[in-house]
Amino acid sequence: MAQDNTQVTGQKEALIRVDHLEKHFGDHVVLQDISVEIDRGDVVCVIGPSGSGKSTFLRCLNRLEEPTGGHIYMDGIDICDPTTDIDRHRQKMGMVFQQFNLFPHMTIMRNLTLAPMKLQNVSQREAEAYATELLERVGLADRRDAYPGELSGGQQQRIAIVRALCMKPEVMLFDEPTSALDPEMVGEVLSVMKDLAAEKMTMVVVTHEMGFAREVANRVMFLDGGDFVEEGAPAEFFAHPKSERLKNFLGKVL
Amino acid sequence: MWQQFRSDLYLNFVKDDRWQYLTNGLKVTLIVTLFAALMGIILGFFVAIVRSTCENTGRLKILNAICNLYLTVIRGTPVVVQLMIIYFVIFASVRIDKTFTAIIAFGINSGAYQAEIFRSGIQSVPRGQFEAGRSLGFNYAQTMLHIIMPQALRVCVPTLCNEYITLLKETSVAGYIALEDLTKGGDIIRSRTYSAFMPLIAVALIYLIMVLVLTRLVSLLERRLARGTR
Amino acid sequence: MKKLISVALVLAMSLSLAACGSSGNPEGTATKGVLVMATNAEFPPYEYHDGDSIVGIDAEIAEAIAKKMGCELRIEDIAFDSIIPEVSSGKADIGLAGMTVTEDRKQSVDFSESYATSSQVVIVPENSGISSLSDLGADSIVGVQTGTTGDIYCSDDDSIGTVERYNKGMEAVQALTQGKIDAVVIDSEPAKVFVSENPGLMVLKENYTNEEYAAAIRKGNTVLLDNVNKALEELKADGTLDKIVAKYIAAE
Repeated sequence: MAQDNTQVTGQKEALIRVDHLEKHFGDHVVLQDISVEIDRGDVVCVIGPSGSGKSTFLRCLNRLEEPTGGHIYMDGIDICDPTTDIDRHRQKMGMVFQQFNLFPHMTIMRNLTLAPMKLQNVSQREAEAYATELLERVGLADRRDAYPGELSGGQQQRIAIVRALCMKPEVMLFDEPTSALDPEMVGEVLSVMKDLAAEKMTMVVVTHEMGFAREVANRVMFLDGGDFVEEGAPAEFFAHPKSERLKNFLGKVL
Repeated sequence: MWQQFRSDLYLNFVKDDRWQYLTNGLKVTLIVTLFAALMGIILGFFVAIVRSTCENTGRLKILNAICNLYLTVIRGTPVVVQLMIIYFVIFASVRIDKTFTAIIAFGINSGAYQAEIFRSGIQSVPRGQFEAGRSLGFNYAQTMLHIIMPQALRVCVPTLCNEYITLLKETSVAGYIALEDLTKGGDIIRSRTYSAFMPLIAVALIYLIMVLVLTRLVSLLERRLARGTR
Repeated sequence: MKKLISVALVLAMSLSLAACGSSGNPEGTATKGVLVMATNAEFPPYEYHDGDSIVGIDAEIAEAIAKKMGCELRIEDIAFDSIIPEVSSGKADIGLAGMTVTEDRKQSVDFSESYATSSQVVIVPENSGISSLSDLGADSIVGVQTGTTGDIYCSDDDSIGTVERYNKGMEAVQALTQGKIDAVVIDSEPAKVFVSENPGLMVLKENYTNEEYAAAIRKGNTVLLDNVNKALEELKADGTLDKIVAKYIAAE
């Protein structure tokens, strides 16, 4: 990476290092003093009650929400620094939204190839070849010329994942990717995410799917009241929660 | 009665080639409308971008304040007053082409209305579209260009077309700066023949036909656009 | 269909009512005891707004005529273009607006005896170097007020380049002071007022045309025409007419 020339220290740097992150809207504190590291290949599931700041935390990672304090380092570079080219960093951080947010005025293929062609100078042929390959893997190659509105929610979300992957990101951020789906479509999206995890993609997933967290994640983190209360490997995390708050939360959702 | 009608027709349109007041006026009306609409598009687009950018990002505050002032003044005063201010005040002591003056005046006026149409179009695109664009790595301008604008335009095309129809009718006050547009052409005939009916009805009919044709085009366009969005 | 016929009938009836509206009372006016005068009060000193009221030579002459006829005067201020249609449709009894008698106008209305004479003159900037009409070349721009005799004569005058027709004489003069046009052709009396109020302008010695002012009256309304002519004659004879004109126009 061209900009990897700063802050390279002796010890191995985590892919993403969150350092005393704070976010408040006016007087309302959403995140307070969050510090966490995410290594390459990590599949981190962030769980917590609604309003706990999970989505805000995730959206701060690529600065869709502007942090009000602290730093976020990616590959050792402070992406909160105003002089950092955030747009280049976002290319390395794929994001999947709850509401899919496909571009309704473009065909699926155009949705997938627009960013690589405009931002990474990939030729149309190359971009389409890669997009087709990914489409085949999610089983939607035949819908390449359809418009998003013609697809089911599950199909749209799978396309949205492919759209992010087309940029060949280093990390994928998922913001409650199955919350807007009909129950019968949740499985197809989770299965795509499982495949990704199996390919050692670094993933940060905000989710309510405890089954997915237990099965796929290597780390589960519990966010409540704007701070990480507890984190651990899923087996230990779900079987022996330490804090009262987590016990309470798991008691409600499991 | 038929005889009277025919002699009225002759007096108002045929005698002294008076019909030319209408055809020449129509030409001026169309030229002014067309170029004012174009100028309005550029101006309106620019203002809408500035306003939306300021609303979304908090940047361009000073430019935004200027745009707001422009919108307030232009939408808060009658176009005929603006026209006369531009002719008699802004371009005081300048020998300036009147068609050009009218295009400037109506262009500035239409720009204000088109700006609000563009802006509401931009505002109608869900916030998630903007975030999806930014999260892929597009900068603000690229996101606007590739993702927001195409969707916004689709929403505002019908409203825009109605604005152009309104503009066509509003240019009828061009006579206030002695520009001989369609309405003024009818007025001149009226002042020559002292009959109100023929010239006024003829002028009204010509406007009506133009508006009907434009309305028809708009509804065709709307149907095509509706087919495009799925 | 029935509806259409009834609408047509009502229309036809109202048209015919309008047609015979002016007859039927001895004064010859549409409404008994009221003389409605149509004018365009933008033409000093003949008629103009002074505070809330319309004053001027025409207004006072009309007042005097109305008095002679035993009528009350009502003045309607409308566009100059609309005065003749207003009179010929019977909405107004007389048109008194510094209006010149022309052959064209005679086809639409009858005119009384003339009560004043006027001429169209040319206003130019003092330093323009234009000293006679012949100096106005083929590329000249001349401003007039739409529908006035100045407009009509200038439009037919091939020696003038472009005629710009303003809604008001004042606006033509404004365009002249701003250098947008080369000259203004307008009635001599308002020209004097415009020149006295706009330094730097002058009236050419040579008149553009000479003409007579008269009152316009609905064609065929001889009762009213005779009444107005009789009144005018008396006003001329007893010196009232001269007095009114002298009040507004300083003797040269």
